[in-house]
Amino acid sequence: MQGGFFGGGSGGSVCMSTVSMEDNVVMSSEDSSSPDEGELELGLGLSLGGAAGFKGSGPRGCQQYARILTAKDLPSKVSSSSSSSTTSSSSTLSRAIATAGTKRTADSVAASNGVASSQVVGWPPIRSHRMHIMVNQAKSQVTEEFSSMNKRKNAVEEKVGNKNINTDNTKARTSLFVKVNMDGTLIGRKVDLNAHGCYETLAQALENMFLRTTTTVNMTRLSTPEHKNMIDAKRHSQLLGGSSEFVLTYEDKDGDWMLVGDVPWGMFTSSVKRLRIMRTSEATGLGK
Amino acid sequence: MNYFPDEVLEHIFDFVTSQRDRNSVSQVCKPWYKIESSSRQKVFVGNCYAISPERVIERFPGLKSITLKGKPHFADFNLVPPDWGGFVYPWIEAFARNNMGLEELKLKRMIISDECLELISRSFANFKSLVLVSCEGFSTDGLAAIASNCSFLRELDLQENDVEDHRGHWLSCFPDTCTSLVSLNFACLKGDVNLAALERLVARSPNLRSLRLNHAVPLDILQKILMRAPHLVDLGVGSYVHDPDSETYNKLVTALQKCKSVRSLSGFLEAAPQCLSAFHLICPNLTSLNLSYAPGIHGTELRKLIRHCRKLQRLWILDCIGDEGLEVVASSCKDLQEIRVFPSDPFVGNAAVTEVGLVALSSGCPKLHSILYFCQQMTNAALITVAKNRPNFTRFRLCILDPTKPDAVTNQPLDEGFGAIVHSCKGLRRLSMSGRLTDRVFLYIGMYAEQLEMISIAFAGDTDEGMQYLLNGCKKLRKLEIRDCPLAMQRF
Repeated sequence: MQGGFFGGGSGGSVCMSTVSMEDNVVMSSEDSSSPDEGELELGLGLSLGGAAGFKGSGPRGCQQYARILTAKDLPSKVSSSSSSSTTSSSSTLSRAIATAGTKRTADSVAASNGVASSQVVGWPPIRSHRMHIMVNQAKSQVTEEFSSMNKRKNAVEEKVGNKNINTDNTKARTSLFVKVNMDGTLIGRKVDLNAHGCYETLAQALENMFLRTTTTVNMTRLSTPEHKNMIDAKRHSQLLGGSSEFVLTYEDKDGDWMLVGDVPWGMFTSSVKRLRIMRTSEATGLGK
Repeated sequence: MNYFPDEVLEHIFDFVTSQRDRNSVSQVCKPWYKIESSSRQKVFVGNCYAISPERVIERFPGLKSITLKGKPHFADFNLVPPDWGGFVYPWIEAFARNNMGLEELKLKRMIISDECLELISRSFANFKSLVLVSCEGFSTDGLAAIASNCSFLRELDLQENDVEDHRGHWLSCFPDTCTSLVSLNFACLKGDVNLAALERLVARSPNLRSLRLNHAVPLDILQKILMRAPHLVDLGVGSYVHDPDSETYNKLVTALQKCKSVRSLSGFLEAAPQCLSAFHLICPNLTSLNLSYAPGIHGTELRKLIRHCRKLQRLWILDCIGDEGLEVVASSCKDLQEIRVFPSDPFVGNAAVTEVGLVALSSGCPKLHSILYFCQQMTNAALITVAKNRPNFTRFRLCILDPTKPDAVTNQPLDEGFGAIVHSCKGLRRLSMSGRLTDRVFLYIGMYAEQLEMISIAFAGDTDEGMQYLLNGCKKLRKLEIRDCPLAMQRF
């Protein structure tokens, strides 16, 4: 990496001979014995370009140093809908910036939903661009030939099985994350369509994500399972039945906005690009 | 000391091309410093904050080509805050203001805006080459500016950048008078491209030798392009979705028969079905194959393809090749020097390769010296065997998907295995480790890894002693990446 530990790569004397206090590349440690004026202190750490150090000399001069970033400083990638909402509500300013930051970051947060090995930030060490492509390729693979997709899944499962590695069916499946936005809500969510096999569970998941605050209160008042089923059924119809304030729609491959629920599930997942929970009043004009 | 006039010295220095050598030359004496600095055309800056653009301009007035690196390597893995920096604008603005005759710009992990791209395109009349690796901050509008205004553009190479796609008309911006293209790589672009403009561009670029397409270029266009550019040396296939019985496929075969110069193949960003027999024609001449973005290619078809690649020197592949597939590589690719095995589904945590594949490669490929290997598990025994088989490793990067996993058989830390690697591979310059590791491994590294220049460590070690062994022992260490290691950090 080129992070200024030792003042720059193989451009030996180009960098080192002219590194001066203004250049201030490397960070000193938090050792209290401060270095002499004009002497560079080499230390471990990711060089933080941001603030004062690299815009020329600041009044703090050689006392500038930076903390080594750890996973604590970076947005928690441990995902599940509840933890990401906790993060955004309680985060510090820097974390909020990082979370809201690059598209890369947001996508990799979503993509690492619910899987153990990726609950660690930045692990496995794969370039964000490559991670992006993996997620998007999983999506487009669904749109292409179904049979080749299934063959591949089986092949991977087979190979992995041969090595006596523990697998289960869910692990061999690829994810198909699509964005979900709801009218009136600024921040969108992402949902893995492949984690659901039918419209009902998808609708339920979306309702949990977006409408939970209004229905939760009602739910707790009822104690019998019978009532709970009734509520569930009612909730099902909230998004699918068109009898509530909101309706679930999706943008397909051709860029058209369609009502969710008309076509078979498989056809739906192969053509969906993103979802939108639209106000029923706006949705007039959609439909078969 | 100076028995020769300056012109003679300058002429001699022209033969000194490596940056390190030129830096050494410049330190011999003052006259040599002056002559070397005024004649240097290519400058490499490993850290864009290590030196100011003004200083570079002052020292190297004849600068024509510059390489700049910005964010640290860890930025690739979202371990660096997005507001870290690495902006190239100050450099370009300074070059433009000082009327530098910039011709080549190569950036890695930097932020470059559309405004900056436009400034480049307007400020440097002889601008020839733009290479962007892992950069961000720009859109296809910036590319349109480059295409429109750089009349002598030879190279536009976009590698793994995060580019905002405004449904590019940028390809149509290359004027009809632009016939100088040698290399065009837009594989990382997410959006559609104007296919007709692409075809016309290829048709009027007789010097085109390297072309890497993005996923939006379908097979029938590929076939037409290949017919127009049979002298291609480096090909990146975009979309490989086809019907093997179709006319298009037959035309592709004909076109590939004419491409006798292809030495490097990549892409296949979408591939279905897998029939790759059309490419078997060019495999025997391939020295470089990158299928790491092609999860659609695996199993029998992949192995068949590899068996044809007898001259392969560099292979980038996904782990769906499996240990079996790696055994095929080991038996077919005797010239292999570098291999990278990436996980095909990093979020699942189940890589399809293990220590078996690694051992097979080490025993089958005598010239193998550089490896990046993402795997499910590793054992000390395997690493010791690998070290014995292949003492010529210069780069050894192992990533076990579960970062603290011990030896899969004995449950011991992997200290002995990595110790064997550093002990046996005397020329090792770069090392990345993973798995369960204690201070002991650092003791070995400090003792044996004399040539080590770069090391990446994660979740390793127990105490500060480990770091002390490392820092005291490896005299040539230049780059150190650490994350999540239990160090008090007070002594450093």
